[in-house]
Amino acid sequence: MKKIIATLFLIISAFYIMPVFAGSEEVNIYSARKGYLIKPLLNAFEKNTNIKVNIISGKAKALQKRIEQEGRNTRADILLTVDAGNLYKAKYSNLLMKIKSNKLEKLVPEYLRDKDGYWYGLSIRSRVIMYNPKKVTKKDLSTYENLSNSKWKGRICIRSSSNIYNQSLLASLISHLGKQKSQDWALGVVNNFSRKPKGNDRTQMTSVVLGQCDITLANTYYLGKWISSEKKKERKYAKKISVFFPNQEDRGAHINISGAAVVKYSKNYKNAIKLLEFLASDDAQELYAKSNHEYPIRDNINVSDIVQSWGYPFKKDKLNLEELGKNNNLAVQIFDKVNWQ
Amino acid sequence: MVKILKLNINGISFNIDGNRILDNLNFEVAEKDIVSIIGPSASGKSSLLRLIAGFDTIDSGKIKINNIIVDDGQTFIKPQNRNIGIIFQDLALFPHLNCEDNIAFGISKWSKNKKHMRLIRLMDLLNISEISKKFPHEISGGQQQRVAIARALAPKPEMLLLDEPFSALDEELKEQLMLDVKELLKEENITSIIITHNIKEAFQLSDKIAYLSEKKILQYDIPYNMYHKPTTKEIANFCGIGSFLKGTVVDANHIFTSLGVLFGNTAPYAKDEIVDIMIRPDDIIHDDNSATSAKVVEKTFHGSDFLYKLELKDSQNIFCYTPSHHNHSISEVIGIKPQIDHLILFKE
Amino acid sequence: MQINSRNYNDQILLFFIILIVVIPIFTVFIHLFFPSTSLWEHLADNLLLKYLSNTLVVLFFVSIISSLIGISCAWLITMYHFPGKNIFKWLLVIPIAIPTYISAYIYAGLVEPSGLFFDFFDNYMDLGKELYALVDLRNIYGAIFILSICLYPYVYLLCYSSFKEQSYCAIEIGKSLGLDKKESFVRISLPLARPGIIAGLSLIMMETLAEFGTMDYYGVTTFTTGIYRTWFAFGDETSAMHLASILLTFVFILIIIEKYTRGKSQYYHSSQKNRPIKPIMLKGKYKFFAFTWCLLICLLGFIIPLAQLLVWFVDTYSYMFESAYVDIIINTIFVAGLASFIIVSISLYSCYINRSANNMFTNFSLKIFSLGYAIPGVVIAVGIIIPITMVDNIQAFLFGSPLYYLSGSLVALIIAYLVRFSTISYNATEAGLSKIKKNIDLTVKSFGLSNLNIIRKVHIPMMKTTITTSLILVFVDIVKELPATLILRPFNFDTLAINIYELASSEQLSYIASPSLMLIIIGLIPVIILIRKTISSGGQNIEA
Repeated sequence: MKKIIATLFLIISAFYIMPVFAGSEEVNIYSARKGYLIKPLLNAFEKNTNIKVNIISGKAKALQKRIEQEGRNTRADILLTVDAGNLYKAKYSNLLMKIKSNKLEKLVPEYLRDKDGYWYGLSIRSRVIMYNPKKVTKKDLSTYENLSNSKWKGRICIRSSSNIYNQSLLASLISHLGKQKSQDWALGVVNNFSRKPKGNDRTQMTSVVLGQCDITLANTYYLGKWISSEKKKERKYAKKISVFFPNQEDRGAHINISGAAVVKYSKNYKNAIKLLEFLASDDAQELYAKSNHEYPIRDNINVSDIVQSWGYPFKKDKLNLEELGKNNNLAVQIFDKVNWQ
Repeated sequence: MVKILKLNINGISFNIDGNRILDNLNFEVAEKDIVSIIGPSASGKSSLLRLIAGFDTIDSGKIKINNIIVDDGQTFIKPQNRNIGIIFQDLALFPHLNCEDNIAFGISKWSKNKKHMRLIRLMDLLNISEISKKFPHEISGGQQQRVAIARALAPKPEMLLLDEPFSALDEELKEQLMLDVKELLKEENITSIIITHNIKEAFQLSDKIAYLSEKKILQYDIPYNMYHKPTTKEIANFCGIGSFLKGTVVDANHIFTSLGVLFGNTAPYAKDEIVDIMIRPDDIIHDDNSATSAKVVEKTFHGSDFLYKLELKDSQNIFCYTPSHHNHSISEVIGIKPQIDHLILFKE
Repeated sequence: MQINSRNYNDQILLFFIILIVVIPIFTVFIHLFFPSTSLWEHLADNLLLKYLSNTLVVLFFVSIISSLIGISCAWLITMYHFPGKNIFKWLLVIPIAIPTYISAYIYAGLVEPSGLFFDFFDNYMDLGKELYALVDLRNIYGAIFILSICLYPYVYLLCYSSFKEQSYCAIEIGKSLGLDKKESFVRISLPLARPGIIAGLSLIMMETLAEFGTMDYYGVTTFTTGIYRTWFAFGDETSAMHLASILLTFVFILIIIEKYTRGKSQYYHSSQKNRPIKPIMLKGKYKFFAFTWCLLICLLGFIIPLAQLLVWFVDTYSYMFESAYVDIIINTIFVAGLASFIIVSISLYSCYINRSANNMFTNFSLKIFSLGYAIPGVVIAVGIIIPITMVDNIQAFLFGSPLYYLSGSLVALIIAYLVRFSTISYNATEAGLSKIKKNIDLTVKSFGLSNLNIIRKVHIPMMKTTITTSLILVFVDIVKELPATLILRPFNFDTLAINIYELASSEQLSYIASPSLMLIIIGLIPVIILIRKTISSGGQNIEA
């Protein structure tokens, strides 16, 4: 009997084996963006500062849940994630540390960062209309609002409302149009669905190419990935779809960010701030954005040729991205009400 | 009175996997008769039953029921259409139905009234009315047997075939059940064929007994004759305890044995021929006054009588029943007297 | 470990183990007493009805279709001879080896670009677009199809063994009572197989209720996806628990129905002499029909999915050699190995305690194990997180900051596996142990062997196969498990199942080929064991 308890105890303690603290300086990133995308940048940082950078990747929600669970004992220093909505949630779940950095305040435009200094955008992506140029011309397109027009009946494919990109888009509409109009819009779009939402942005783009619908809303970088894909089919399809930036005549196209924040219980927050400042700097920005076919946070930085080919710069909706987080719950409820699955 | 034949089997042969099981077999059953088929195990009794029921087909010959050919190699009437009831040894009651529904299984197409009447009657006759709503696993072996019989009889079949129906029951149950069943069969006027390995059952139930061995029916007769006038030694042994005594034919009416001279018809054996005489235990009487004596070598107590195995002076053994207050010990020599009605003689 | 232990220590330990199994259920239902959040109102208004209707519709149709397939195939195979029947007999079981979510991904991918069907239509007939528009599996109908085609083997196996076991006497009696073939099937064979059918169906329904991957991918909103979404997307524990309690109620109803019919079924085993069934040779169009039907089911069940996987594999096999992938394989083997070892040990231990003490408590506690299997993985996961976090907070409070939280480790995951899968191990060990009659213990004792030696020299050799089988069965089930692993796994700890899920979620379907093939090969092992067991026992005793 005693032997059993002893063995159990040993097993449980085995789970408590923790990797030895690294003697040297380090900073740990929990990242929703694939690690390999910014590896070169991190290497450069390490070289310059002698601070070791460890990066672990995962899904945005899982990362947040993780940091929550780890609480005071988290090993995370930086949360690098996509979509301002996620950053907002992290802030109001008390997971982030408020930081003051003059550099960051200068480098990151106001509308791309948290006004209290909890999080900072590091790259921009836009959720644009992608369309089949054989079925739709630029003249047919104008605004997001226009998509609820019945002329698009049976011609729109969009991904599920469970995805944060759509939620953020609707959140921005709530900010601009108010709750009721946004709900009407959502209902109008649902009525225009050519089929029930399924798959991710790429699936929608495929459906457009294959003629199941004429237009969709997708993030710009997906097209970039298609164009530069190793798969012949994807490159072929990329040629059959075009990009349109909505609302260029009024407020501008809806944008979102990938961004970072320092974790509240970070042990290496000084190093973390240094890394953030680095990532926002001119040296890093070009590579950071290019690596995923995104846009840098300042207009003076170069973009990739592919991105350039869609038209750059474009008019951006400079809504404060906090709004995306603020209206997220409401957006989800509206989606449920109009049965946008 | 000429009895109408219910079943008429003519020269049938039947093979399983190339082995001949039944060879040129003839058999007939009169209407309303209860017939037992006995014989050594694996002699083809069950096969014969299955052929009558139609679960297998004959290889040659003819089977007629009610004078209609049901199987002759060309015509074949399916078992579903022969209206023959069958009861297997393992009963195969449907576990998902209660007793009543089991019994009514074959008459589901009857009108509600008729069905109800039939059920009541059968359950009454078989004394199973109280368990009508119970399920097979909730009743005893004997009750299950009754339900199986009722089920087979419900559709008023032409014939009832029973394959070792009582073998799984213990003695007490058997007695009462057999009486009830015989009464029921007679009342319903059902022609029945029963396979049994228990000679007592055969004697008690049957109008006639058929002995099946070596692919044929060797003897087919009333129970009394099967016991007292078996045509082969095998049958003799099967139908009861007995022994064979050597005898020399003296003349047409006498035969000489170690028990003395016995009277009886010795045909067709010739003078001086040596034959085997069947001696049943009831042929020998214990008589202290007799000149002949024998030594007790074995003794079995049967309650009301003893069965003694006796050794004669010439070392031959015979059996003897005596009322049990004649309690003799082994090795004792007792007087005996033969009391034989007629002679049953076999070639040596 | 003493055999004849009236030692209460053992029973107390058993009590704690049982407590672990019960905790998720307890956690779920205790939340019924928490006040509903505002989100719950929103859920109740808009989504609850959908969850209910989708769940019921899927349950209904999957039950019907899988019964049809299972019963018809079992009947054809047992009662008739037709070309290929002997191979079909075993091939028809294979779909069990393919996890439902993998099947779902494959079928969705078949009609999309780089899928077999799509490429065929597109390259040779230029009808790719039309096919894509025409065939849309990612909805409730697709989900019904996938679940039916993957789960029918449960009914098939149980029906097969029931039909095979049926004494032919019953059918002959039916004939003698005037039944024709059709009536014989409907009034005799089918009712006799009913317990088997119900047992198989209840397994299928439990799997359906617990199904996450397929529903998630095909966009069918059910309780499992609802719980997941409420938990993760909204972070609303209470509402997730409310949903879970509704789901559990369904499950409990199923369990009660299943136990009730199981009680009756023991009387359905035939008594002594069993005449085996003589299959009838089929001729002409019937022969063709039987062959084609079985072939069709095999095609849909595993031939087409495997073919697609192989084609994708050829394109993406190099993915297998990336280091990240090797980590995944190691993780999978490690956690499944460790967990199955712990689970089998615990169930063995529990079996022994029950064997020696054999009182109401021990008997009852072992029924609790079987409850765990029925609880959907999602529910177990959310039911465990909360107590574990509580324990963590307590120990943080008591001991300051420990080095590594329970919740961050594999402990939570292994506990979830324990809850869900211990019954498999338990059933196998119990069956094996019951073959060692107690009298053997006593006889051997009279030869003077000590208790420990009895275990070592007598029991363990006799139980070797049982223990190995248990280990394998639990190991494979853990490897295939998805929803609980998705929720509870430690950070950066991916298993093959998780990897497949994430690849599919990011629409990189062709990459699932390598991990899926690995999973399926692993999953075939218990199927082969099961098949061999059926051969040796002559068609009896199929325990899932």
